[in-house]
Amino acid sequence: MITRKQLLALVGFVILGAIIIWIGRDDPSQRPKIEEQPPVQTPVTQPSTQSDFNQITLPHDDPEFPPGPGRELFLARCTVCHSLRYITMQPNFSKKVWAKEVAKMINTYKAHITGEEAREIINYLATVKGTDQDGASNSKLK
Amino acid sequence: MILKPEELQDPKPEGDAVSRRRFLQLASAAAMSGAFSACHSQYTNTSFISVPPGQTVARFPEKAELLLLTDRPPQLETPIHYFREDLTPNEAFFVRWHYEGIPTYIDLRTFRLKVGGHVDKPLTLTLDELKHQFDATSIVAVNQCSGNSRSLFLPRVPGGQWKNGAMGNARWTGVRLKDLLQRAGVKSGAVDVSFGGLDEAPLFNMSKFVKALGIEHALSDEVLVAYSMNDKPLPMLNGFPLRLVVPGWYATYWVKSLASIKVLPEKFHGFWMDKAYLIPKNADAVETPENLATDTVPINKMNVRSLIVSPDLPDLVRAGATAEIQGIAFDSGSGISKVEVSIDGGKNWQAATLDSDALGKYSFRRFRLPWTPQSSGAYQLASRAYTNDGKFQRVFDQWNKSGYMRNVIEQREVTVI
Repeated sequence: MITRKQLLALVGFVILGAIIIWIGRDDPSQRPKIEEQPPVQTPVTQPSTQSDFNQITLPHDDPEFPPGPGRELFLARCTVCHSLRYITMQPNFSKKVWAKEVAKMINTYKAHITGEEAREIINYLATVKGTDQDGASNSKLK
Repeated sequence: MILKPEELQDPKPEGDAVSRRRFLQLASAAAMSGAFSACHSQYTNTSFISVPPGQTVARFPEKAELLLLTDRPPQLETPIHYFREDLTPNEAFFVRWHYEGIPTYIDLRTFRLKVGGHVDKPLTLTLDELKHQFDATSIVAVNQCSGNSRSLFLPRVPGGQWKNGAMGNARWTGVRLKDLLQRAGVKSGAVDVSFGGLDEAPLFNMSKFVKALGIEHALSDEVLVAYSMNDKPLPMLNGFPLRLVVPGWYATYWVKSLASIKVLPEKFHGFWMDKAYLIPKNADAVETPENLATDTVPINKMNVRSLIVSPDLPDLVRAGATAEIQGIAFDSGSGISKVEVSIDGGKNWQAATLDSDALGKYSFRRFRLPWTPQSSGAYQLASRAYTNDGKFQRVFDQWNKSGYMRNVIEQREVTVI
Protein backbone atom coordinates (compact mmCIF):
# COMPACT_ATOMS: atom_id res chain seq x y z
CA MET A 1 0.00 0.00 0.00
CA ILE A 2 1.22 3.47 -0.72
CA THR A 3 1.01 5.92 2.07
CA ARG A 4 -0.78 9.25 1.95
CA LYS A 5 2.60 10.99 1.86
CA GLN A 6 3.75 8.95 -1.12
CA LEU A 7 0.49 9.66 -2.92
CA LEU A 8 0.86 13.41 -2.36
CA ALA A 9 4.43 13.29 -3.62
CA LEU A 10 3.30 11.37 -6.67
CA VAL A 11 0.52 13.86 -7.44
CA GLY A 12 3.04 16.67 -6.95
CA PHE A 13 5.45 15.13 -9.43
CA VAL A 14 2.70 14.64 -11.99
CA ILE A 15 1.64 18.29 -11.70
CA LEU A 16 5.25 19.49 -11.89
CA GLY A 17 5.82 17.31 -14.94
CA ALA A 18 2.72 18.70 -16.61
CA ILE A 19 3.92 22.25 -15.97
CA ILE A 20 7.35 21.49 -17.41
CA ILE A 21 5.84 19.88 -20.50
CA TRP A 22 3.49 22.85 -20.94
CA ILE A 23 6.30 25.39 -20.67
CA GLY A 24 8.59 23.43 -22.94
CA ARG A 25 5.98 22.67 -25.58
CA ASP A 26 6.83 23.49 -29.16
CA ASP A 27 3.90 25.48 -30.43
CA PRO A 28 4.37 25.92 -34.22
CA SER A 29 2.22 29.06 -34.14
CA GLN A 30 4.76 30.67 -31.83
CA ARG A 31 7.73 30.08 -34.10
CA PRO A 32 8.98 33.12 -35.98
CA LYS A 33 8.14 32.85 -39.64
CA ILE A 34 10.64 34.18 -42.10
CA GLU A 35 8.85 33.82 -45.36
CA GLU A 36 5.34 34.87 -44.51
CA GLN A 37 5.93 38.45 -43.60
CA PRO A 38 4.04 40.90 -45.77
CA PRO A 39 6.08 43.02 -48.15
CA VAL A 40 6.65 46.51 -46.85
CA GLN A 41 7.35 49.46 -49.07
CA THR A 42 9.52 51.49 -46.72
CA PRO A 43 10.90 48.89 -44.37
CA VAL A 44 13.75 50.80 -42.86
CA THR A 45 14.11 51.37 -39.18
CA GLN A 46 17.40 53.16 -39.16
CA PRO A 47 19.26 53.31 -35.90
CA SER A 48 18.73 56.73 -34.47
CA THR A 49 21.83 58.87 -34.19
CA GLN A 50 20.32 60.37 -31.06
CA SER A 51 20.16 57.10 -29.22
CA ASP A 52 22.95 55.51 -27.26
CA PHE A 53 21.54 52.09 -28.05
CA ASN A 54 21.04 50.01 -31.09
CA GLN A 55 19.49 46.62 -30.70
CA ILE A 56 18.11 44.08 -33.14
CA THR A 57 16.43 40.72 -32.79
CA LEU A 58 17.36 38.20 -35.43
CA PRO A 59 14.65 36.06 -36.99
CA HIS A 60 15.34 32.36 -37.13
CA ASP A 61 13.60 29.57 -38.95
CA ASP A 62 15.45 26.37 -39.72
CA PRO A 63 14.23 24.16 -42.55
CA GLU A 64 12.96 20.63 -41.96
CA PHE A 65 15.17 17.69 -42.81
CA PRO A 66 13.82 14.30 -43.85
CA PRO A 67 14.05 11.26 -41.60
CA GLY A 68 16.88 8.83 -42.13
CA PRO A 69 19.86 7.28 -40.37
CA GLY A 70 22.09 9.99 -38.97
CA ARG A 71 19.49 12.75 -39.00
CA GLU A 72 19.44 13.32 -35.24
CA LEU A 73 23.21 13.34 -35.01
CA PHE A 74 23.41 15.70 -37.97
CA LEU A 75 20.93 18.08 -36.32
CA ALA A 76 22.63 17.91 -32.94
CA ARG A 77 26.20 18.44 -34.10
CA CYS A 78 25.81 20.86 -37.00
CA THR A 79 23.39 23.29 -35.39
CA VAL A 80 25.81 23.93 -32.54
CA CYS A 81 27.49 26.47 -34.79
CA HIS A 82 25.23 27.24 -37.72
CA SER A 83 21.82 27.16 -39.27
CA LEU A 84 20.76 24.15 -41.32
CA ARG A 85 20.36 26.52 -44.23
CA TYR A 86 24.10 26.13 -44.69
CA ILE A 87 23.24 22.70 -46.01
CA THR A 88 20.01 23.46 -47.85
CA MET A 89 21.65 26.27 -49.81
CA GLN A 90 24.38 23.97 -51.18
CA PRO A 91 24.00 22.17 -54.47
CA ASN A 92 24.08 18.38 -54.36
CA PHE A 93 27.57 17.11 -53.74
CA SER A 94 29.25 13.73 -53.93
CA LYS A 95 29.97 11.89 -50.72
CA LYS A 96 33.62 12.74 -51.29
CA VAL A 97 32.87 16.47 -51.15
CA TRP A 98 30.62 16.08 -48.10
CA ALA A 99 33.38 14.13 -46.36
CA LYS A 100 35.78 17.00 -47.08
CA GLU A 101 33.32 19.52 -45.72
CA VAL A 102 32.67 17.60 -42.50
CA ALA A 103 36.40 17.02 -42.08
CA LYS A 104 36.91 20.78 -42.52
CA MET A 105 34.37 21.48 -39.80
CA ILE A 106 36.22 19.15 -37.44
CA ASN A 107 39.84 19.84 -38.33
CA THR A 108 39.67 23.52 -39.20
CA TYR A 109 36.77 24.82 -37.16
CA LYS A 110 37.23 22.42 -34.25
CA ALA A 111 33.67 21.11 -34.26
CA HIS A 112 33.13 18.58 -31.48
CA ILE A 113 32.40 15.54 -33.65
CA THR A 114 34.05 12.14 -33.36
CA GLY A 115 35.17 10.13 -36.36
CA GLU A 116 32.33 7.65 -35.93
CA GLU A 117 29.77 10.41 -35.69
CA ALA A 118 31.27 12.09 -38.73
CA ARG A 119 30.75 8.92 -40.82
CA GLU A 120 27.10 8.84 -39.86
CA ILE A 121 26.64 12.54 -40.65
CA ILE A 122 28.41 12.21 -43.99
CA ASN A 123 26.20 9.28 -44.95
CA TYR A 124 23.14 11.30 -44.07
CA LEU A 125 24.34 14.33 -46.09
CA ALA A 126 25.15 12.08 -49.03
CA THR A 127 21.61 10.74 -48.84
CA VAL A 128 19.73 14.01 -48.67
CA LYS A 129 22.09 16.21 -50.72
CA GLY A 130 24.13 13.69 -52.67
CA THR A 131 24.94 13.01 -56.28
CA ASP A 132 24.15 9.83 -58.16
CA GLN A 133 27.68 8.71 -58.70
CA ASP A 134 29.85 8.89 -55.68
CA GLY A 135 32.89 10.96 -56.43
CA ALA A 136 31.74 11.93 -59.91
CA SER A 137 32.01 15.49 -61.10
CA ASN A 138 29.15 17.73 -60.13
CA SER A 139 29.37 19.65 -63.34
CA LYS A 140 26.21 18.10 -64.70
CA LEU A 141 24.26 19.65 -61.90
CA LYS A 142 22.88 23.09 -62.38
CA MET B 1 43.63 14.84 -33.94
CA ILE B 2 43.24 15.29 -37.69
CA LEU B 3 40.54 13.30 -39.42
CA LYS B 4 41.12 12.52 -43.07
CA PRO B 5 38.10 12.89 -45.37
CA GLU B 6 38.93 9.57 -47.06
CA GLU B 7 38.75 7.79 -43.75
CA LEU B 8 35.37 9.28 -43.02
CA GLN B 9 33.72 7.99 -46.14
CA ASP B 10 33.78 4.28 -45.51
CA PRO B 11 31.46 3.17 -42.79
CA LYS B 12 33.22 1.18 -40.11
CA PRO B 13 32.59 -2.56 -40.20
CA GLU B 14 29.52 -2.83 -38.03
CA GLY B 15 29.80 -6.22 -36.42
CA ASP B 16 29.45 -6.45 -32.70
CA ALA B 17 29.93 -2.72 -32.49
CA VAL B 18 26.38 -1.99 -33.62
CA SER B 19 24.40 -1.15 -30.57
CA ARG B 20 20.82 -2.18 -30.21
CA ARG B 21 19.75 1.45 -30.42
CA ARG B 22 21.75 2.02 -33.57
CA PHE B 23 20.29 -1.10 -35.11
CA LEU B 24 16.77 0.05 -34.33
CA GLN B 25 17.52 3.47 -35.81
CA LEU B 26 18.79 1.91 -38.98
CA ALA B 27 15.94 -0.52 -39.20
CA SER B 28 13.24 2.05 -38.64
CA ALA B 29 14.80 4.53 -41.03
CA ALA B 30 15.12 1.82 -43.61
CA ALA B 31 11.51 0.89 -43.15
CA MET B 32 10.46 4.50 -43.64
CA SER B 33 12.54 5.29 -46.67
CA GLY B 34 12.72 1.90 -48.27
CA ALA B 35 16.46 2.39 -48.65
CA PHE B 36 18.61 0.36 -46.40
CA SER B 37 21.92 1.82 -47.43
CA ALA B 38 22.34 5.53 -47.05
CA CYS B 39 24.58 5.79 -50.07
CA HIS B 40 22.65 3.48 -52.33
CA SER B 41 22.60 5.37 -55.59
CA GLN B 42 18.99 4.92 -56.69
CA TYR B 43 17.69 6.38 -53.46
CA THR B 44 19.67 9.60 -53.37
CA ASN B 45 17.99 12.98 -53.37
CA THR B 46 14.44 11.70 -53.45
CA SER B 47 13.67 12.66 -49.89
CA PHE B 48 14.74 16.26 -50.11
CA ILE B 49 11.67 17.62 -51.79
CA SER B 50 10.46 19.01 -48.47
CA VAL B 51 12.87 21.85 -49.02
CA PRO B 52 11.09 24.06 -51.49
CA PRO B 53 12.96 24.85 -54.67
CA GLY B 54 13.52 28.45 -55.63
CA GLN B 55 14.63 31.44 -53.72
CA THR B 56 13.69 32.24 -50.15
CA VAL B 57 13.47 35.87 -49.20
CA ALA B 58 13.70 37.21 -45.70
CA ARG B 59 13.38 40.47 -43.88
CA PHE B 60 15.92 41.11 -41.16
CA PRO B 61 16.07 44.12 -38.83
CA GLU B 62 16.83 47.39 -40.65
CA LYS B 63 16.71 45.47 -43.92
CA ALA B 64 14.44 45.24 -46.94
CA GLU B 65 13.41 41.88 -48.37
CA LEU B 66 16.66 40.22 -49.40
CA LEU B 67 17.57 36.81 -50.74
CA LEU B 68 18.16 34.47 -47.83
CA LEU B 69 21.25 32.27 -47.87
CA THR B 70 21.46 31.50 -44.18
CA ASP B 71 19.89 32.91 -41.04
CA ARG B 72 22.43 31.91 -38.37
CA PRO B 73 24.73 33.69 -38.93
CA PRO B 74 22.83 35.90 -41.36
CA GLN B 75 23.87 35.88 -44.99
CA LEU B 76 21.60 37.96 -47.19
CA GLU B 77 21.96 38.80 -50.85
CA THR B 78 20.96 41.98 -52.67
CA PRO B 79 18.44 41.47 -55.48
CA ILE B 80 20.01 42.72 -58.67
CA HIS B 81 17.43 45.42 -59.43
CA TYR B 82 18.95 47.51 -56.64
CA PHE B 83 22.01 47.98 -58.84
CA ARG B 84 19.95 50.25 -61.07
CA GLU B 85 20.87 52.87 -58.51
CA ASP B 86 24.48 54.00 -58.25
CA LEU B 87 24.46 53.85 -54.45
CA THR B 88 23.02 50.67 -52.99
CA PRO B 89 20.52 51.57 -50.24
CA ASN B 90 21.59 50.54 -46.75
CA GLU B 91 18.47 48.45 -46.27
CA ALA B 92 19.27 46.49 -49.44
CA PHE B 93 23.01 46.08 -48.85
CA PHE B 94 24.15 42.44 -48.69
CA VAL B 95 25.02 40.84 -45.35
CA ARG B 96 27.66 38.26 -44.60
CA TRP B 97 28.93 37.18 -41.19
CA HIS B 98 31.18 34.23 -40.43
CA TYR B 99 30.08 33.16 -36.97
CA GLU B 100 26.71 33.09 -35.26
CA GLY B 101 27.96 35.24 -32.36
CA ILE B 102 27.30 38.58 -34.01
CA PRO B 103 26.60 41.79 -32.10
CA THR B 104 22.88 42.44 -31.77
CA TYR B 105 23.14 45.07 -29.07
CA ILE B 106 25.41 48.10 -28.96
CA ASP B 107 25.49 50.61 -26.12
CA LEU B 108 27.49 53.59 -27.31
CA ARG B 109 28.14 54.65 -23.73
CA THR B 110 30.29 51.58 -23.27
CA PHE B 111 31.45 50.96 -26.83
CA ARG B 112 35.16 51.72 -27.36
CA LEU B 113 37.49 51.46 -30.30
CA LYS B 114 40.93 50.42 -29.13
CA VAL B 115 44.08 51.19 -31.06
CA GLY B 116 47.10 49.47 -29.58
CA GLY B 117 49.97 47.09 -30.05
CA HIS B 118 53.24 48.37 -31.40
CA VAL B 119 52.44 52.07 -30.74
CA ASP B 120 53.68 54.81 -28.41
CA LYS B 121 50.36 55.61 -26.75
CA PRO B 122 47.42 53.24 -27.15
CA LEU B 123 44.04 54.90 -27.78
CA THR B 124 40.63 54.08 -26.38
CA LEU B 125 37.96 56.07 -28.19
CA THR B 126 34.22 56.47 -27.94
CA LEU B 127 32.25 56.97 -31.14
CA ASP B 128 31.79 60.65 -30.22
CA GLU B 129 35.52 61.15 -29.73
CA LEU B 130 36.17 59.50 -33.06
CA LYS B 131 33.69 61.82 -34.75
CA HIS B 132 34.85 65.02 -33.07
CA GLN B 133 38.59 64.62 -32.62
CA PHE B 134 39.42 63.55 -36.16
CA ASP B 135 38.68 64.94 -39.61
CA ALA B 136 35.83 63.25 -41.42
CA THR B 137 36.39 62.01 -44.92
CA SER B 138 34.15 60.26 -47.44
CA ILE B 139 34.69 57.83 -50.27
CA VAL B 140 32.32 55.98 -52.56
CA ALA B 141 33.48 52.40 -52.91
CA VAL B 142 32.25 48.99 -53.95
CA ASN B 143 32.14 46.40 -51.20
CA GLN B 144 32.17 42.94 -52.76
CA CYS B 145 32.32 39.54 -51.09
CA SER B 146 35.26 37.37 -52.18
CA GLY B 147 32.76 34.66 -53.05
CA ASN B 148 30.31 36.80 -54.99
CA SER B 149 28.78 34.71 -57.81
CA ARG B 150 30.18 31.50 -56.32
CA SER B 151 27.06 29.57 -57.36
CA LEU B 152 27.99 30.19 -61.02
CA PHE B 153 31.23 28.20 -60.85
CA LEU B 154 31.22 24.80 -62.56
CA PRO B 155 31.87 22.31 -61.15
CA ARG B 156 29.95 23.72 -58.20
CA VAL B 157 31.94 24.43 -55.06
CA PRO B 158 30.84 24.38 -51.41
CA GLY B 159 30.37 27.69 -49.62
CA GLY B 160 27.89 30.54 -49.59
CA GLN B 161 25.90 30.04 -52.79
CA TRP B 162 25.79 33.67 -53.89
CA LYS B 163 24.51 34.80 -57.22
CA ASN B 164 25.70 38.25 -58.32
CA GLY B 165 24.31 40.19 -55.37
CA ALA B 166 27.02 39.80 -52.72
CA MET B 167 28.14 43.33 -53.43
CA GLY B 168 27.06 46.92 -53.08
CA ASN B 169 28.25 50.45 -53.64
CA ALA B 170 28.02 53.05 -50.87
CA ARG B 171 29.37 56.36 -49.69
CA TRP B 172 31.45 55.61 -46.61
CA THR B 173 32.23 58.38 -44.17
CA GLY B 174 34.57 58.17 -41.24
CA VAL B 175 38.10 58.90 -40.16
CA ARG B 176 41.26 57.90 -41.92
CA LEU B 177 42.91 54.88 -40.36
CA LYS B 178 46.16 56.74 -40.96
CA ASP B 179 45.05 59.56 -38.64
CA LEU B 180 44.24 57.11 -35.86
CA LEU B 181 47.55 55.31 -36.25
CA GLN B 182 49.48 58.58 -36.30
CA ARG B 183 47.71 59.77 -33.15
CA ALA B 184 48.69 56.51 -31.46
CA GLY B 185 52.22 56.83 -32.81
CA VAL B 186 53.33 53.80 -34.81
CA LYS B 187 56.70 52.59 -33.54
CA SER B 188 59.44 51.82 -35.99
CA GLY B 189 59.53 48.25 -37.20
CA ALA B 190 55.74 47.93 -37.59
CA VAL B 191 54.84 45.29 -40.19
CA ASP B 192 51.11 44.56 -40.09
CA VAL B 193 47.95 46.00 -38.59
CA SER B 194 45.21 43.60 -37.47
CA PHE B 195 41.50 44.32 -37.14
CA GLY B 196 38.97 42.60 -34.91
CA GLY B 197 35.23 43.15 -34.51
CA LEU B 198 32.69 42.36 -31.83
CA ASP B 199 31.67 39.08 -33.45
CA GLU B 200 32.73 35.95 -31.60
CA ALA B 201 33.31 32.34 -32.57
CA PRO B 202 30.72 29.87 -31.24
CA LEU B 203 33.29 27.49 -29.74
CA PHE B 204 36.17 28.52 -27.54
CA ASN B 205 38.86 26.89 -29.67
CA MET B 206 37.76 28.46 -32.95
CA SER B 207 39.76 31.39 -34.26
CA LYS B 208 38.22 34.79 -33.83
CA PHE B 209 37.58 36.57 -37.11
CA VAL B 210 40.59 38.89 -37.41
CA LYS B 211 42.03 40.32 -40.63
CA ALA B 212 45.23 42.21 -41.30
CA LEU B 213 46.70 44.74 -43.73
CA GLY B 214 50.34 45.60 -44.30
CA ILE B 215 51.48 48.76 -42.48
CA GLU B 216 51.97 50.72 -45.72
CA HIS B 217 48.48 49.94 -46.87
CA ALA B 218 47.10 50.81 -43.42
CA LEU B 219 48.85 54.19 -43.58
CA SER B 220 47.54 55.02 -47.04
CA ASP B 221 44.98 57.81 -47.45
CA GLU B 222 42.11 55.64 -48.56
CA VAL B 223 41.57 53.17 -45.73
CA LEU B 224 38.83 54.47 -43.43
CA VAL B 225 37.20 53.62 -40.15
CA ALA B 226 33.65 54.44 -41.20
CA TYR B 227 30.75 55.37 -38.94
CA SER B 228 28.43 56.32 -41.75
CA MET B 229 27.12 54.56 -44.82
CA ASN B 230 25.24 56.64 -47.40
CA ASP B 231 25.08 59.44 -44.81
CA LYS B 232 23.32 57.28 -42.23
CA PRO B 233 24.64 55.15 -39.38
CA LEU B 234 25.55 51.64 -40.51
CA PRO B 235 22.82 49.04 -40.06
CA MET B 236 23.70 46.59 -37.28
CA LEU B 237 24.03 43.82 -39.84
CA ASN B 238 26.53 45.87 -41.85
CA GLY B 239 28.75 46.62 -38.88
CA PHE B 240 27.25 49.32 -36.63
CA PRO B 241 28.83 51.40 -35.20
CA LEU B 242 32.18 51.16 -37.06
CA ARG B 243 33.46 49.35 -40.07
CA LEU B 244 36.83 49.23 -41.76
CA VAL B 245 36.66 50.44 -45.37
CA VAL B 246 39.37 49.15 -47.71
CA PRO B 247 38.57 50.55 -51.17
CA GLY B 248 39.42 48.22 -54.03
CA TRP B 249 39.88 45.22 -51.76
CA TYR B 250 37.45 42.39 -51.18
CA ALA B 251 34.91 42.77 -48.38
CA THR B 252 36.60 40.20 -46.16
CA TYR B 253 38.97 43.00 -45.08
CA TRP B 254 36.14 45.42 -44.29
CA VAL B 255 35.86 44.23 -40.68
CA LYS B 256 32.43 44.94 -39.20
CA SER B 257 31.62 46.21 -35.70
CA LEU B 258 35.30 47.12 -35.58
CA ALA B 259 36.52 47.38 -31.98
CA SER B 260 40.20 46.55 -31.99
CA ILE B 261 43.08 47.78 -34.14
CA LYS B 262 46.48 46.37 -33.35
CA VAL B 263 49.82 47.38 -34.83
CA LEU B 264 52.21 44.45 -35.03
CA PRO B 265 56.00 44.34 -35.23
CA GLU B 266 55.77 41.09 -37.20
CA LYS B 267 53.65 39.45 -39.88
CA PHE B 268 50.14 38.60 -38.67
CA HIS B 269 49.44 34.87 -38.67
CA GLY B 270 45.79 34.38 -37.76
CA PHE B 271 43.61 31.63 -39.17
CA TRP B 272 41.57 34.07 -41.27
CA MET B 273 44.69 35.29 -43.07
CA ASP B 274 46.80 32.13 -43.18
CA LYS B 275 44.23 29.39 -43.77
CA ALA B 276 41.04 31.00 -45.06
CA TYR B 277 40.46 33.36 -47.98
CA LEU B 278 43.46 32.05 -49.90
CA ILE B 279 43.60 32.19 -53.68
CA PRO B 280 45.85 30.48 -56.22
CA LYS B 281 48.81 32.77 -56.82
CA ASN B 282 48.09 33.76 -60.42
CA ALA B 283 46.37 36.68 -62.12
CA ASP B 284 42.88 35.19 -62.31
CA ALA B 285 43.03 32.94 -59.24
CA VAL B 286 42.64 29.87 -61.43
CA GLU B 287 43.16 26.19 -60.67
CA THR B 288 41.45 22.96 -61.71
CA PRO B 289 39.84 20.24 -59.58
CA GLU B 290 42.49 17.82 -60.84
CA ASN B 291 45.37 20.21 -60.33
CA LEU B 292 44.81 22.37 -57.26
CA ALA B 293 47.22 25.24 -56.74
CA THR B 294 49.89 24.64 -54.14
CA ASP B 295 51.11 28.22 -54.21
CA THR B 296 48.46 30.41 -52.59
CA VAL B 297 48.22 33.97 -51.25
CA PRO B 298 45.60 35.83 -49.20
CA ILE B 299 42.90 37.29 -51.44
CA ASN B 300 43.44 41.03 -51.92
CA LYS B 301 42.42 43.45 -54.71
CA MET B 302 39.25 42.96 -56.70
CA ASN B 303 39.49 42.10 -60.36
CA VAL B 304 37.49 43.90 -63.03
CA ARG B 305 33.81 43.01 -63.43
CA SER B 306 30.72 44.22 -65.22
CA LEU B 307 27.12 43.20 -64.97
CA ILE B 308 24.04 44.03 -67.02
CA VAL B 309 21.23 45.06 -64.68
CA SER B 310 18.63 46.05 -67.24
CA PRO B 311 16.67 44.81 -69.09
CA ASP B 312 15.77 42.07 -66.66
CA LEU B 313 12.55 40.36 -65.67
CA PRO B 314 9.91 41.74 -65.54
CA ASP B 315 10.95 44.27 -68.17
CA LEU B 316 9.30 43.83 -71.53
CA VAL B 317 11.41 44.47 -74.60
CA ARG B 318 9.46 44.86 -77.83
CA ALA B 319 10.76 44.28 -81.32
CA GLY B 320 11.15 47.59 -83.13
CA ALA B 321 11.11 49.65 -79.92
CA THR B 322 14.20 51.12 -78.33
CA ALA B 323 15.23 49.79 -74.96
CA GLU B 324 18.28 50.65 -72.95
CA ILE B 325 20.85 48.06 -71.98
CA GLN B 326 22.30 49.25 -68.70
CA GLY B 327 24.83 47.89 -66.31
CA ILE B 328 27.60 48.54 -63.85
CA ALA B 329 31.36 48.03 -64.02
CA PHE B 330 34.09 48.34 -61.43
CA ASP B 331 37.61 47.26 -60.58
CA SER B 332 40.04 47.80 -57.75
CA GLY B 333 40.57 51.50 -58.41
CA SER B 334 42.42 51.87 -61.67
CA GLY B 335 39.08 52.94 -63.14
CA ILE B 336 36.94 51.73 -66.03
CA SER B 337 38.12 52.85 -69.45
CA LYS B 338 35.58 51.13 -71.68
CA VAL B 339 32.65 48.74 -71.57
CA GLU B 340 31.44 46.76 -74.55
CA VAL B 341 28.08 45.10 -74.94
CA SER B 342 27.05 42.12 -77.04
CA ILE B 343 23.50 41.10 -77.93
CA ASP B 344 24.50 37.87 -79.66
CA GLY B 345 26.29 35.97 -76.93
CA GLY B 346 29.70 37.52 -77.53
CA LYS B 347 30.06 37.26 -81.32
CA ASN B 348 29.87 41.01 -81.94
CA TRP B 349 30.62 43.82 -79.54
CA GLN B 350 29.84 47.53 -79.47
CA ALA B 351 31.01 50.21 -77.11
CA ALA B 352 28.55 51.43 -74.49
CA THR B 353 28.58 54.98 -73.18
CA LEU B 354 29.86 55.48 -69.67
CA ASP B 355 28.15 57.71 -67.12
CA SER B 356 30.25 60.35 -65.40
CA ASP B 357 32.97 59.13 -63.09
CA ALA B 358 31.98 61.73 -60.50
CA LEU B 359 31.56 59.09 -57.79
CA GLY B 360 35.22 58.19 -58.01
CA LYS B 361 37.39 55.36 -59.20
CA TYR B 362 36.23 52.87 -56.54
CA SER B 363 32.53 53.27 -57.36
CA PHE B 364 30.22 51.41 -59.69
CA ARG B 365 30.54 53.01 -63.12
CA ARG B 366 27.32 52.86 -65.09
CA PHE B 367 27.23 52.01 -68.78
CA ARG B 368 24.36 52.34 -71.22
CA LEU B 369 23.60 51.28 -74.76
CA PRO B 370 20.39 52.00 -76.67
CA TRP B 371 19.06 48.82 -78.23
CA THR B 372 16.38 48.42 -80.87
CA PRO B 373 15.91 44.72 -81.55
CA GLN B 374 14.48 44.18 -84.99
CA SER B 375 12.81 40.85 -84.36
CA SER B 376 11.35 38.91 -81.48
CA GLY B 377 13.10 35.96 -79.90
CA ALA B 378 15.80 35.20 -77.37
CA TYR B 379 18.92 37.36 -77.21
CA GLN B 380 22.07 36.64 -75.27
CA LEU B 381 23.22 39.88 -73.70
CA ALA B 382 26.74 40.19 -72.36
CA SER B 383 29.12 42.92 -71.26
CA ARG B 384 32.85 43.17 -70.84
CA ALA B 385 34.76 45.91 -69.07
CA TYR B 386 38.27 47.28 -69.59
CA THR B 387 40.34 49.12 -67.00
CA ASN B 388 42.75 52.02 -67.19
CA ASP B 389 45.58 49.67 -66.29
CA GLY B 390 44.92 47.37 -69.23
CA LYS B 391 42.86 44.58 -67.62
CA PHE B 392 39.65 43.27 -69.12
CA GLN B 393 37.10 40.52 -68.73
CA ARG B 394 37.35 37.34 -70.75
CA VAL B 395 35.49 34.14 -71.43
CA PHE B 396 37.49 31.32 -69.92
CA ASP B 397 37.24 28.42 -67.54
CA GLN B 398 37.73 30.39 -64.41
CA TRP B 399 37.51 28.03 -61.48
CA ASN B 400 38.99 27.67 -58.03
CA LYS B 401 37.95 25.40 -55.18
CA SER B 402 36.76 28.25 -52.96
CA GLY B 403 34.73 30.05 -55.61
CA TYR B 404 36.54 33.37 -55.30
CA MET B 405 37.10 36.35 -57.62
CA ARG B 406 34.71 35.37 -60.37
CA ASN B 407 34.97 37.87 -63.21
CA VAL B 408 34.25 36.05 -66.44
CA ILE B 409 31.90 37.71 -68.94
CA GLU B 410 28.38 37.05 -67.66
CA GLN B 411 25.55 36.39 -70.09
CA ARG B 412 21.90 37.14 -69.63
CA GLU B 413 19.11 35.88 -71.86
CA VAL B 414 16.41 38.39 -72.72
CA THR B 415 13.27 37.52 -74.64
CA VAL B 416 12.04 40.15 -77.06
CA ILE B 417 8.33 40.04 -77.81
